[in-house]
Amino acid sequence: MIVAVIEAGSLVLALGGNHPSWPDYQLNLSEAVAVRDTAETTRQLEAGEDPSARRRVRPGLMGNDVEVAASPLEAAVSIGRIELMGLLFERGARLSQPEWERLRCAARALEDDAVLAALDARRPVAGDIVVCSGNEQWWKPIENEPSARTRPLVVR
Amino acid sequence: MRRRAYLLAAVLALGFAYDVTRIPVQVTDSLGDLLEVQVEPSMASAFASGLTIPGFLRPLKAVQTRLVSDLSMGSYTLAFRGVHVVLLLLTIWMFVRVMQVDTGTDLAAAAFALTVLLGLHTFANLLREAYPINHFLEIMLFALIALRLAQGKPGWLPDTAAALLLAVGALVVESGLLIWVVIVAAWLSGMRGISTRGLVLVTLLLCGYAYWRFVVIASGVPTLDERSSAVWLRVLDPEEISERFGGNQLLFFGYNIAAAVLSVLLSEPRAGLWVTVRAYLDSELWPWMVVALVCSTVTTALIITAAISSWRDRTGRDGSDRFYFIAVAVIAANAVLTYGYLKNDLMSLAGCFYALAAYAAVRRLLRRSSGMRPLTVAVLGVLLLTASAGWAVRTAGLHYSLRYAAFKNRNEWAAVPERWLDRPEWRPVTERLRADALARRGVAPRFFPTWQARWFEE
Repeated sequence: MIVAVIEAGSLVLALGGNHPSWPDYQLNLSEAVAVRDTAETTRQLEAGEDPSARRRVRPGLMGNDVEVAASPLEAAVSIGRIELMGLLFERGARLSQPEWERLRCAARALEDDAVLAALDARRPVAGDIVVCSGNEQWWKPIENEPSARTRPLVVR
Repeated sequence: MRRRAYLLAAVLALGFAYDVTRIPVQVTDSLGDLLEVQVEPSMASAFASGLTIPGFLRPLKAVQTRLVSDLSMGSYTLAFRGVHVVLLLLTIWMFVRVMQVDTGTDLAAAAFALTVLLGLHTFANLLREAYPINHFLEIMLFALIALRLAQGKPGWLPDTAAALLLAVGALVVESGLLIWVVIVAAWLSGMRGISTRGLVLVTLLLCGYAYWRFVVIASGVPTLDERSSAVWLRVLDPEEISERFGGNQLLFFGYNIAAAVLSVLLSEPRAGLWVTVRAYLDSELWPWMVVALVCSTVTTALIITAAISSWRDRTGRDGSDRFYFIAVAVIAANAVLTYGYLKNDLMSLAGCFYALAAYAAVRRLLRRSSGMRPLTVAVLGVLLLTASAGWAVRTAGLHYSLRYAAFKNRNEWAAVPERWLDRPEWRPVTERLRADALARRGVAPRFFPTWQARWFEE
């Protein structure tokens, strides 16, 4: 009976488009990549979204405590998904040399040779050994914006 | 009380129907079948195409897919999801109908049985998947209609309808043959809505099916080297199965049959794999595994207790007490049918009749409770509370499982294999289905609350 009452309540909410089991999170491209939503990533890329632009990413999706700015590629590397990296490169994602170096350094923590190889294959400028400080992050902080902390979301 | 039972069932069914509408048509085991029937010039040739698949005889599966596809006028997702929802609603309605709820006690037992039906792992795949119609759900509906006919008054109409149900069911998917088992078991248990004449008719049809399948077209049965299968704690690929059981296939078949029966009675193993045992050995036991094992074990114990009580109480038996016998027959026959390949949804009909047996058991025990000793009543109360809480959790968990399915199915459409775009008549169908799937936003598992992964089964 309890289940039925909950079901009935959910159905009433669904009539208003707010089914509690099916919330619409309205992911941007970086967030879609961060949560491994390949279909949403593909949909947005096919709709013309810029695969290189940084977007706000809610706390928790990339191991971030607060809202940050990250590109889809940074999100893909942070979760170690080479198929998403490939999809983004295929759709024209680009990295500048400093961005590539930061991402390459951060990716070392994953200890995933496939991810490192996928990044090496896309090195913008051929060069020497990359020197890492050990403090490189996947994302860029959003500074001086109170709104950066106002979209809390509990995720695992 | 009957109206309240229907209301309760309607609320539960609509809740899951909503989930079904959110799941895109799947690529795996579905898109290929849907596209294959597109190139058939007519329904008749679609029927004929289903006669030539080695190891299977499913001509009406192709016909139904073609029919829904043609009637959809291009709105494939809407049409196939619509059929799925209708099948679900009709099945739940028929399930309540065969329970013949009259009193408050019946209603309580029916509520329990509904959660058993919906919460059992054998039911989940009936909503998670479709090929692109879920034929196992269709067979469950047909079997429940056959049981309802058996409960009713005899006449030429129920006899003809029973024969029609068997004929259609058997030509849709092999599980349809279980409709014959339902009809015979119902007759043996004393239900005479389908008469002896009707029984002879369906038996003749079954013989005709066997003759047609094994002699005329000789399509045979699937061989061991076609699919992977789980044995004890591992999934074996076809080569390993042949290697291990090649010289003694009966052992493999026996394991599958026993595992199929236990999977309904104890919710373990799952498709032959002892999931909970393996998780325990790996120190990765999750609450959902314990919930499933405990509530299934308690429910099976209650069913056995009530069945023994019914057996002894010859004068106090009524219609629903026949469900024990029918459930045993269907579970056994269903298990035998999965001798070569075990999968959760293949045992869905057994799960449905297990739920009916649970209805009969809870009803009987509640009715008899007034004459029991206080200690017995207390023990029964604790057991019922434990089981019903467990089934409620499992039923609620079905939403979790369906959200997962929606996410997984949608992701399948991100990159459709080129072969499904090869032919000019396939491209518009594939592209339309893909556009529908990508437009249907789901919820990424990353957003599911952490506790749900512990308590609900994926």
